[in-house]
Amino acid sequence: MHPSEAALLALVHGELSAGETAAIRSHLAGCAPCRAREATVRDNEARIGALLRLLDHPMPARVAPAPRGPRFGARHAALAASLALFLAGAAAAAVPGTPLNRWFRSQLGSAPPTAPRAAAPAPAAAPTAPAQVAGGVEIPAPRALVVTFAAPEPRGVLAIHATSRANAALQAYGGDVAYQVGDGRIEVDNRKPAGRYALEVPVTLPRLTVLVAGRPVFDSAERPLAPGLDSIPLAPAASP
Amino acid sequence: MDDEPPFEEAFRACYAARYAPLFTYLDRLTGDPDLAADVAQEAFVRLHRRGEMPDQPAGWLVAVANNLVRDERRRVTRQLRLLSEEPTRAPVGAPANDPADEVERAERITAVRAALDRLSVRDRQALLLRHGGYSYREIAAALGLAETSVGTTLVRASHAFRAAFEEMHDASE
Repeated sequence: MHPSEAALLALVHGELSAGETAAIRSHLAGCAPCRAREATVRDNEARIGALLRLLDHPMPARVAPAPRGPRFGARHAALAASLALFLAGAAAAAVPGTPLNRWFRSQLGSAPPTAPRAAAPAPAAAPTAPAQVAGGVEIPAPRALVVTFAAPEPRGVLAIHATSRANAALQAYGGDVAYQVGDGRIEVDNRKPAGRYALEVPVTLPRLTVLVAGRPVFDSAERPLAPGLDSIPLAPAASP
Repeated sequence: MDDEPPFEEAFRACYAARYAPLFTYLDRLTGDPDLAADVAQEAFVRLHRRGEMPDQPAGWLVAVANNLVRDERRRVTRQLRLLSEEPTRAPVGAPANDPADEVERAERITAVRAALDRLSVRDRQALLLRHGGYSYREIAAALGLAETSVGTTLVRASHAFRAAFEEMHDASE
């Protein structure tokens, strides 16, 4: 019996079992018309593949290998960056509308109450004032960043996304977490643990340090920021 | 606590292996590399939030990403370059030096997009996934198809695509 076109296509795709492949091959060996059909299927596949490749773009910078900035960026610039106290809800509209951020907000806006509790009023609408993302905080263009978690979370995980954006943002999924944001630092009061956190940082951030209960669990000086996505557990290493 | 949780390990391996194919698929699907990268990353965020690996991670990621693309298009808050529109950013491929080659290339790209746009959503997704290196099993998981019907879907999609491309390309000449 002559193989169907789907069978020939599956053969070309390498999707047939060894038995099916052998059966069709032995048929092709004795059937010139089917050999011609198989060759046509193969040519068409190659042609479609070449046409579709015309559509490809380079990956945006967030996943391309990123140049590393100076490891210890200018401290004075960090001071200029912002006094990053903020008022819950005050600046939500000011978040630059990157799609990822929009998703964060739209998808997680109705998540369990994670609205940050601000420690102090924000300076009124300074252009560099940190903005709030739903259940998280955002700070503009940090020169260095220290993220501290007040309490260990034995099952907690922090995903670190190195992106092409200039701002840093920390997002909690669930729990009831309060943030305090300052000059190049985000302090997370996680006594009601969220379990999962996503930290978005510029891939060019000179230095990122994460501390849990005062102990370092991540330092980009030792483990350079990986372009794309990385993740670390939120439990400090056990004492020796 | 030194042991890395197995999920984290699996997740990281999955990210390393599956990000690029997912991005390529979405880039071809949407024609918008920024959107493609955002959607791909968001799909991994969802996987991470899920906290355990699905049976078919590659298919699961595509299914989530397809939904995100669909939602994003519905949202209309973003100026999305639809498949039928002229690409405003030049795709990569081999850079053409000869202006005539460049014109020919641009016409072909327009025809490819228009041809894809003619396909049903499922056929288009199946075709792009197959040519993005996804297996039949992964395509079945991604699109909610029986694995046995992936082959016929691909045959139909390939025929429809070639016919539409020839028509578009001839029309532009």
